[in-house]
Amino acid sequence: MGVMNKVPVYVEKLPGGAIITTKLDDVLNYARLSSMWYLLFGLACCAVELMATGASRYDFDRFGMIFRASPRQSDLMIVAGTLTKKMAPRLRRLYDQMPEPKYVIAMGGCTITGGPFYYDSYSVEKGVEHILPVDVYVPGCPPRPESLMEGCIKLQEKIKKQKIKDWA
Amino acid sequence: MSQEISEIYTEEFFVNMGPQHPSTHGVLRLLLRMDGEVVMDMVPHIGYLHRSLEKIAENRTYLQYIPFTDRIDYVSSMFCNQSFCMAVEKLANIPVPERAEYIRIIMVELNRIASHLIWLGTFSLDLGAITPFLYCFREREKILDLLEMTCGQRMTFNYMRVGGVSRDITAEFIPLAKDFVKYFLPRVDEYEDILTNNPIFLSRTKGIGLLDQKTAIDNGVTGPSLRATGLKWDLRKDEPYSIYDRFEFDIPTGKNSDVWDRYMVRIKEMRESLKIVQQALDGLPEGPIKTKTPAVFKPPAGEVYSRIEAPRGEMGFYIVSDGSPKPYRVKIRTGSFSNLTVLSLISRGWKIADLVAIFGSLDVVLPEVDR
Amino acid sequence: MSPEDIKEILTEKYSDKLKEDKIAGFEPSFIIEKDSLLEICRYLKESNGLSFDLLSCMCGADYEDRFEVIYLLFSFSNKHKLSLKVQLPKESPEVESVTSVWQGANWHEREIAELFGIKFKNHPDPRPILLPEDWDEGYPLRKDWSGKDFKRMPDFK
Repeated sequence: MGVMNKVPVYVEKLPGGAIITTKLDDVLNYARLSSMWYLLFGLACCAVELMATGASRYDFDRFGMIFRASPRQSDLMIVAGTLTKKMAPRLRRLYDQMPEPKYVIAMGGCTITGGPFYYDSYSVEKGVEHILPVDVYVPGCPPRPESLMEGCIKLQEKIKKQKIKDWA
Repeated sequence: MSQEISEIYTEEFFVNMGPQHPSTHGVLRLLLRMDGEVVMDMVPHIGYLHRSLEKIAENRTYLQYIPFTDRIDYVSSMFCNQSFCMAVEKLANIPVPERAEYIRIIMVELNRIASHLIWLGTFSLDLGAITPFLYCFREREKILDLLEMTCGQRMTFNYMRVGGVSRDITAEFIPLAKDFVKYFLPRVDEYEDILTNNPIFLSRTKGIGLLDQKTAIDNGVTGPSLRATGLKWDLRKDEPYSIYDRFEFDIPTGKNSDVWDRYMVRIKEMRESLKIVQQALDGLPEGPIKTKTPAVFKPPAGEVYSRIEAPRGEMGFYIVSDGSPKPYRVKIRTGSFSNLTVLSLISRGWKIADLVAIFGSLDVVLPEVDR
Repeated sequence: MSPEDIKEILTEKYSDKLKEDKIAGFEPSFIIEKDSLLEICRYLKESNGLSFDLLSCMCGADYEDRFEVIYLLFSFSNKHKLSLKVQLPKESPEVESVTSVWQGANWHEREIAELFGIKFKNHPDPRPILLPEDWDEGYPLRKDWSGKDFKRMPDFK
């Protein structure tokens, strides 16, 4: 069973069933990280690599991650592509529409510091962190699908360390 | 009963298909005025991906600008590279060696197939068929393997240089490419099996979104959308550039210029591109891959405009040079910018689900529109 | 028709309003006066031998003493090309819009008006197209422009 292998449990077999004793922290974190539904938010070139990661060869579905089109039904936003000043208020509005708990992955050089458009560009927002709190940065231009999967696994490790007393 | 229905009060309302939408293929905002399910009028708002590539060009040398040309249309970056390099070569009169021309044609036609595969996958995903999406991406991964073997990158290649290409193809490339050509031809038949004669697909695409030839030419539409109106015009055959006049291939056209015709034109184009790749692989000569250019490259002062046939229409670069290592003004003419202007004219009177099919068939990629 | 024939026809009809120029790849090229732009464009599109029906590209450029608007034309029926240039003064650059001749010029002119500040008279829909709605920092593609978030790349040695 998945829970038995991933989360420290104490199992006691009684007649009529078994009682599993564990920490609530661990079970909640495990439930969250095994089924992250991400918002389809592809802006530019990194969006094609995001689609390729979700397609046949590098499959995202085995991590439990499916794309959703609406922010109200997703808990992860992968910002993939260059953010311009015209698009920035819409990004903030979409982030505000997601229900808690929510996480953000900044994918690609353009979302970290503006990427190749740092110099000489009058309409590019130089990095997404002015607008949203970011959990994981994935560098690359565009990052390979394996890099993006490594970023998602790092996010899963970050979630494993969350404690209820921090957010409840 | 019918008298009661005609007395029901109706009014038109505005719907915003916002910048973030799964079917807009990028960040495009469409403001629709609707009467029930029928679209009365439509205004597109663009500019959400305007990255000021033309201003950047004024402060980079010609070699430093080539990676930026990749990002104009990242789905078909080899075409953007080729267009820019051809414009600079025409300005400075630099010849390109034979082997480099053949390699350029192989890379470019493979990229055309990859671009049409992405279009086919997302178009059928919009209409509700999810299987072709996974099939197309599986084939596209094989093409990306071939391209990665040569230039090290999966998507934005930065491969061509002024005067040739940057690296030679390896010894394993040619047998693998020939295997791919044999493998891919029955796959196109597989996609046609699923879609072309499917009654649901036909009822969603036949007779929808008609675009007549005169409106298309007046608005500057080029590429497969223009060929579907019946005009047999392709820059590779009618104004041959590079060495396209040595290859034999056909130009598919359509008759009714509806969504189904635009789909069939692109499917047939994939087969023609395979023919070109096969002929180029058979006739690949030996030789150098790049003409030597000086380390600080300064073309003579003047202006040039050169255009090529990209998967979405004509792509042209207008470069003004004043004799210094950096260009004075670069203007990028892309196919999607002109193709998008027709959308509001051909989608009036159709339902919103038809609008999704029409927009998918025009094959617009937003970074080309916004630059 | 060959470039020389087109040159002959045009210089015969509009000899005082034309000057020769060179754009490699799109010959013949002319510089015309801005007041006769609409008349010449209508003649080019409607006359039987010429019939330039595709406006292939339209762009603006900023030089030290003038602005320029460049039109690149093509004909599908006769398969020949032509390029026109209009030169405008720096103080208040204005020129007629050609949307009544080619519909495709609509969005090109909106882009040039927004990025260079050139005004197109009688344009059916002069709204900004690419920049954000609350943009108030001037015309970015001019050579002497600088904004508050605009960093130029230094020359690395």
